[in-house]
Parts: sequence; structure tokens; C-alpha cells
Amino acid sequence: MRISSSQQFQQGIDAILRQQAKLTKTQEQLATGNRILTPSDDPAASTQLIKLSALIASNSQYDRNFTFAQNQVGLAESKLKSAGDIIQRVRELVVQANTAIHNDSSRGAIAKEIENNLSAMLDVANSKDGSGEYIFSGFNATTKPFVKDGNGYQYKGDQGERFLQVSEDIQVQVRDSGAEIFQKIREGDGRLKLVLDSGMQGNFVVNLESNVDSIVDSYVVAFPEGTGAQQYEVKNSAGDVVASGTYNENDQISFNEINLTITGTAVPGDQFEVQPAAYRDIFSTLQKLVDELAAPIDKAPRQASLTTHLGQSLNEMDQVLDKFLGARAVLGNRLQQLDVRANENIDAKIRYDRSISELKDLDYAQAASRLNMQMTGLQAAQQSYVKVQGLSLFNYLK
Amino acid sequence: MAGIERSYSDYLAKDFRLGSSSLGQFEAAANMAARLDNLMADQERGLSAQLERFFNALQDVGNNPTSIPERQVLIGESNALAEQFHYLDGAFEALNSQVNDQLTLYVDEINQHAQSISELNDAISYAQALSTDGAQPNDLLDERDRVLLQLSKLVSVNVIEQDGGVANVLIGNGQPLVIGGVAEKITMGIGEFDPLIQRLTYERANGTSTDITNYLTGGAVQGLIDFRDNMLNSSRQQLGLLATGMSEVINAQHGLGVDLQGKLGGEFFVPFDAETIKNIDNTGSASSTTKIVDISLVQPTDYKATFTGGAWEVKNIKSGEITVGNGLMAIDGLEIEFSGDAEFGDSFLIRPNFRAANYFEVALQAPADIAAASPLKFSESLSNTGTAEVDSLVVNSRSDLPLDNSFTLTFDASGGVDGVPGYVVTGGPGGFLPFDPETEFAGKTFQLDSGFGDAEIRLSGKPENGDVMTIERNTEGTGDNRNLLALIDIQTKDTLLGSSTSLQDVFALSIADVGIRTRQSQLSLETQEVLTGQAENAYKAKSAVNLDEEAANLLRYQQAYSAAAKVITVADEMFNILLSTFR
Repeated sequence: MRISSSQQFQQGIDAILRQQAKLTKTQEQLATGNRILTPSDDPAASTQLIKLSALIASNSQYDRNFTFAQNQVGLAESKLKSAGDIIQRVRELVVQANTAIHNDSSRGAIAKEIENNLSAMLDVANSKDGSGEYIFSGFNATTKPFVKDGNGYQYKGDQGERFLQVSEDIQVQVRDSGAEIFQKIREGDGRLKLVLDSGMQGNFVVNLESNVDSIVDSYVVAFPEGTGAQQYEVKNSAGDVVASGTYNENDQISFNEINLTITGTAVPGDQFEVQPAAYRDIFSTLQKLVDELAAPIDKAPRQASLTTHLGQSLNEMDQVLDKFLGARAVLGNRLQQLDVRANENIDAKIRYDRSISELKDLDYAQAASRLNMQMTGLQAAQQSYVKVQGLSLFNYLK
Repeated sequence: MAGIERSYSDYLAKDFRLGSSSLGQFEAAANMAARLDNLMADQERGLSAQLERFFNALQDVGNNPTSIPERQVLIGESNALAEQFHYLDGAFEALNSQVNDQLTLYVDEINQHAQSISELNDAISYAQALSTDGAQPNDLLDERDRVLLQLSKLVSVNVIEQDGGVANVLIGNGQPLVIGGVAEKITMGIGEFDPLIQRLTYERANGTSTDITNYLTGGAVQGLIDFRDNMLNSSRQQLGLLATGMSEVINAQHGLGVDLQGKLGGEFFVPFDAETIKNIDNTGSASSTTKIVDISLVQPTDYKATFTGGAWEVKNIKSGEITVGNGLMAIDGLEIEFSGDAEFGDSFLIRPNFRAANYFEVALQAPADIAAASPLKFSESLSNTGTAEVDSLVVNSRSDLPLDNSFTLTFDASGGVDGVPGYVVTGGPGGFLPFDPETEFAGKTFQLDSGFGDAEIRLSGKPENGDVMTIERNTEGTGDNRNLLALIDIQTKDTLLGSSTSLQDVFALSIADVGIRTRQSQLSLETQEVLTGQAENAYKAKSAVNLDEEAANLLRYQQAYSAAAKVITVADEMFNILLSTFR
């Protein structure tokens, strides 16, 4: 075959240029450590790399969110622990007050101490976090949640609950509303409560027991005036008598699965009510206790109704403690969940990093040997070019 | 001497010219593609990373909705995102102007080559007319071949040889560039729709002109146009879709929230609508406008609407799909409206997203204007005896939000039309929401009656008769981050391309697209290099010079010369001897 000299020249140069281009590419790969220099090197892997780096960026954001969420939940948890300690102390004071040895002034001292605890409780409920947000105010984070005005204790927050994103599809609650924690506590024993008539003349203590989960109706227990042995009757809200009989001290009065034991003497005309337990905020409960203890005992029936009240207060303190313990358990659960997610997040990061490295990183051994081969190739192309170009018949025409 | 024979094959020359055209085309395309490829290689750290930073800043605000510094950072990251969009759009625009510059250069060269060929044609026919023995003006023919080859690298040509040694050159779909001694011209001019998307016009000396941009085949000019139409514009449309998507989807959700002052959220990014551009050559007075009505259906493409007499024919430029209609047309989430009197052949270009990245701006200025909260909130009455809860309240529309009057849901254990238990809605939309505590305590979602923000309420738990839930305006809800959580969700939500692709993925797709097309153009180029190399070899093997061959010939002729000289010497000697004999 006939080959023209210009072809020979051109082909030699082309071969060298091609080898150089390949060599440059390998050299650049070696210098950067990346197998993929531009998307065209591996379009599919480039797309995956984009997605993986997006995942890693989200991943590091979730790390920040964990820390934030842990601080928030941890703060609420420690505040609730303080709240629990306060109630524990109040409960001890109630037990202490519920003995006959007290006079007005020693009871007053106890009332004073409970009042101090009340204001400590208010401080807890009005806690702020590091950025100045009230943590128990729901969405109204810049509004002080609990304030006292002429009508008692008011909740100025709302029932909003804040969540944080901790993974692509999981949100964890980091804020509870003050309403949920401090307001939604049932009076009495959590199901029913006694309401004593303040004008009662009799000197008796009421003890309430029941197995029902809750009651809907309310009942009036009355000691009607009449002749003969003292009678009692229990009416429901419609006015129907559900139980009646002769009153004997310490006899059990039962109606609709509710059992009452009354100790002491009743005076005709006395009456009290059994009502379903409604929600009452912790501050009003404590305030009521303070008021009850601070009032001087001017006559015997007051002592008896105080005993009844204190008995009910012990139940109420137990309600509050249960509430706080329950809330702390939920918070603890969230912290645990956050820990689990945080660990998953770390695992995911390692997985993403590994995937990225597999897609992107250069196999150095392979690249180095390729570089060697290409260098040899380039050398061969150059040397052969020079040799072949040196070959010309004209060299011999001298 | 009888004459010099020209070592030449018409067929091989033609083959080589064709190969050169294809090579020129693929070279130009691959060259530009590599530039786009390099640009996109940085974007893993560029736009993609900035998108991430934007969404992460959203999360930080969500962690701490009352805090101003986090909100300030979000605004900063939003502006940085806008800048990243501008930067990429600018880089695309720069590639476009590189295409224009090169095209201008090539068009000049084409015109010069055409001129040279016409002059050579004249010279060749003159030389042939002068020649009495039919001898060819070989050097002129070689020169014309060389120019034809140069020309065919720029644009594919059809060469027709005529009697008298004249070569006529046709381009495009038969437009004569050179006829005998006359050369016509190609000019570059502003595009019929976009001045920056320039077009090539074939102009004859008699004043007629034709747009030949889409009729050229092969050559570097075609390679550049291919790159522009198929790769560069496509990347711009995809980037534009991301920009439009961001602003539409984020704005829609942001508008469903309330800001720190309790106002409904304003525009987060400056909204922009599809562009409709009138063809500068339109003769009728028709006008057209386009609105984006459903971003989830919008495609990364342009549309060309052409009036075909009775109706408008709207062609999706990428897929070629044609929709015919009149007045108001709904295509791919767009509403295109035509009005006025159109003449046959009038056209409009509809660009839903081509320039969107350029127009992408942050509308929100003050940190307090970020609408982190949700406009409505709910509460359970503290006198409720049951365990019922409102799990969530999602607002889907800004219209008719019950902001001024709250409304309540009261549980009626026996109520309802057929004695079914459920919630009586008092105020607001009114009505009755059937809810059976025994079977549906795990949760049931209600869509409130029309209006009222198209709110969805999810209720759970076991309510008792008379339990009340209140739904009211969220006032002073500075610590509410519900709307931000919804905004964060957008990052991974499939909101675009028929609700199949997330914002982040749209960009990843466009990078993959560039990668694949660049690779293809490189492969085409490599294949064509081999093919054209073969054609070149065949051509040069026939026509070019081999020095060794020439040296050998030289030796042969030298030897022949020496031999001939020897004969003379011998004859001379013989004569000398002979003559000296007689002396």
C-alpha cells in the first residue's frame, strides 16, 4: 500500500497526541485521587454522588437537630424533676399538717412553706431556655405562660406542641404545652372528688373509695332534718334518690360502686357532694391547700373538714406526682429515641461516606500501573516517530 | 513532454470531504460539550451544596423559630442560592455567546471560502479555454480542492462539477453557495425569538433570504447548533425548572404560614411566569400569554406555537409532541392563551423556564417575615372528660381561612343524622364529622367543607359526650414551627415532573444528562476520527507525495540520466578514438 509522507507524519503526531491526552487524564486522576473528574466520566455515578452529598449534608443537619432536641428535652426533663421534688416536699408537709397536734400558728407556718413551694413551682412552669423562649408556653413561646390575676392562676400559652425533624421522615416532639403538664391534672383521686359545704355544722370526716374508672353524674349526700335516728340520703343530679338509710358512724354507704365511710357526728341539714374529678391546674390546687391551712380553726367542724380536705389533698399530690412521673417517662423515652436516631445517623454517615468513596475514589494501584503503561506507550510513540521520520532515502543521496 | 498527469480520484476526494464535515461537526460539538461538562463538574459543590445549605438553614429556623439570627442566616443562604442560580445561568449564557462568536467566525470563513472557490472557478475555466491540448491547470484544481476541504469542515457541501472545469457548491437543502464565478452569502443575525439565540440566513444577491439554521447538515457550524439546541438549551431549561420549582413550591407553602407578626406569609422568592415571545417575522397582530398553573406538570422544554390557518399548533420542542387548539390551551401545567388576528405561519416561542434561573430573586427581606408558624391552632377544652386529641391540623389554602372567628367541634355520642356518634361543628364550616370512638380511636382525618383553608383535621382518642375542641387563629404563636417543618419536607418531596421528582433530583438529573450527552459526543467523535482517518488515508494514498517514492524516482531518473550521459561519453570516446585513428 502506498503511504504518503504527510500521512506518515500526521499519523505519528496523532498517536503521540492521543497518548498524551490519556496520560494527562490519568495524571489528573492521580493528583486529585478522584476517578470521576467530570460528569461524563461516569454519568450514573455523578448523579449518585450528588444525591449522596445531599444526604450527607442533611445528615450533619440532623446531628445539629439531635443536639438541639436533646437540650430541649433534657431541659424539660430536669424542670419536671424539680417540679416533682417540690410536690414531694408539699406532700410531706400535708402529712405533717394532717396530725392533731397543730395549732393555728404551726399550721400557718406549714401554709407559708407550701406557699413558698407554690412560687417555686410557678418559677419552674415559667422556665425559659437558652434562647429566651418559655418552654412550657406552647406556641406562644415569648409569652409568660402562668400568671396570677384576680381570678387565680391563668395560662397564657396555648396547647401547641413543637416537633423537630430528626431524620428524613421522623419528627420528635421537643416541647409540651404548660396546659398538658400543669393544667391537665385531675382533682380528687383522679376519678371523683368530695366537695364539702362550707356551712357544715357536723363534725365528721369523709373517706371516699371507688373502683369505677370515672363517673359522669354528681351526687349530693345529705342528712335531712327529721325525728328519730339520723337518716342519710344520696341523690343524683336528676334528684332521684340512689341510696338512703339510717346513718351510723363508720358504716359504709354505697351507691353506684362508690363507697363512703363517714366518721363522726352529722348534724341535720349538713350535706356534701361527690363529683366527677375535673382538671385543675397545680397552682390552684396548691393555693387551695395554702388557703385551707392558713385559715384559723375557729370551731370543731372545721378541724374535721380540714382532715377530709387534707386526705383528699394527699390523693391530689399523688395525682400530680403521677402526672410528672408520667411526663418524665415520656421525655426519657424521647431522649432514648433521640439516642437511637443519633446512632443510626452516625451509621448512615459511615455508609454514605463508604458509598461515595466506592463511586469516586481512584484505585491507586490500578491507576499507577495504567500511568506506567501510558508513559511507556508515549515513549514508544515518540521514539518510533523520531526513528521513522529519520528514515528517508534522501539521507543516502549524498 | 506530453504533460503532467494529475493523480486524483473524484470519489475519494468526495468521501474525504464528507468525512471532514462529520468530523468538523462532532469536533465542534464535543469541544463545547466538554466545556459544559467541566462547568457541571463543580456543581456538586456549587448549586447542589447551596440547595442543601438553604434547607439546613430552614431547619435551624425550625429548631429555634423565635430567634432572629437563625432567620437572618436563612435569608443570607437564600440570597446565596439566588447568586448560585445567577452564576450558573451566566455561565450558560457565556457558553451561548461562545457559540455565537464561533458561528460568526465560521460564517465569515464560509463566505471567504465561497469567494475563493468562485474566483478559482473563473481562473480554471479561463485556463482550460486557453489550453489548446486539453491540459489541466493542476495547481488551480489542487488549490480548489484544498479550499473545498476547508469549507466542508465548516459546513457539509454538495459539489457538482460542470463542463469547463467549474465546480458548483450547494449547501443546506440545495441552496447554491457558489455557481460558477458567483458566490452567495450567509449572514448571522439575531434570532427570530431570542436575539441571543442567533440564526443563519442565506442571502442571495437578488435580495431574497432564507433561514437555513435548521437545514444545515454536518460541519462545525452544525456541531455548534446541535450543541446549543440539544445540550446547552436543555441544561438551561432544566436549571430553569429547578428555579421555577423552588420559587413556586416554596412560595406556595410559605404563603400557608404566618410570620412573627401574625401576618400570612408573603412571597419568599420573587415569582415569575412563563415567557411568551413573539416571532419578529410575524405579519399578523396576534398576541399570546402563558401562565404556569400547575408547577408539578411543567416540563423542562420550550414550545413553539405556529398558526396553521384555522388553529394554533403548539409543538413541544423536546419531545416533538403537537397539540392543536385555539383560544385558551392547557398543556403540561401551562395555560397558553392566544388572541388577536394571526396570519398563516405566525409563531410564538413559549418558554416556561428557560430564563428562570436568571430571574431567580429572594423577595423576603426582613427576618420577621419568615412564616414559620401555621395560621390555625387547636386546643382541647380542659373540662373534657375523654381522651380525644387533635393530632394535626393542616391548612392547604390561604383563601377563606377562619382567622376572625374560631369554631368548635363538640362530640355527640349519640347524635348525627343516623344516630352515628361524631363531632358537631359549631361556627366555621358547620356540619357533622362522624367519628366512632370504639373503632376509630387510632385516628381519622377530616377534610373540612370547602373554604376554610381547605383544612384537614386529624382526630384521635376516645372522646366522651360533650367534649369540645376549639380551632382558632394562631395569635402570638412565635414558637410555632409547623409551617417550617412543611417547608423542610419540600426538599425530599416529589413535587416536580408529574410529582415524580424532588427539587434536588431535578438538578442531579440535569447533571447526568450533561454527562451522558458529553460522553456520547466524545464517542461519536472518536468513531468519526477513525472513519475520516480512513477516508483521508485513501485520499492521500492516491494523491499525496511520498518522499521515498520521489527519492527513488529521483535516483531512477538520475541513473537514467547518468546512463544517457554515459552513452554520450562512450559515443564521444568512440568518435575521439575513431578520429584519432585518422590523424
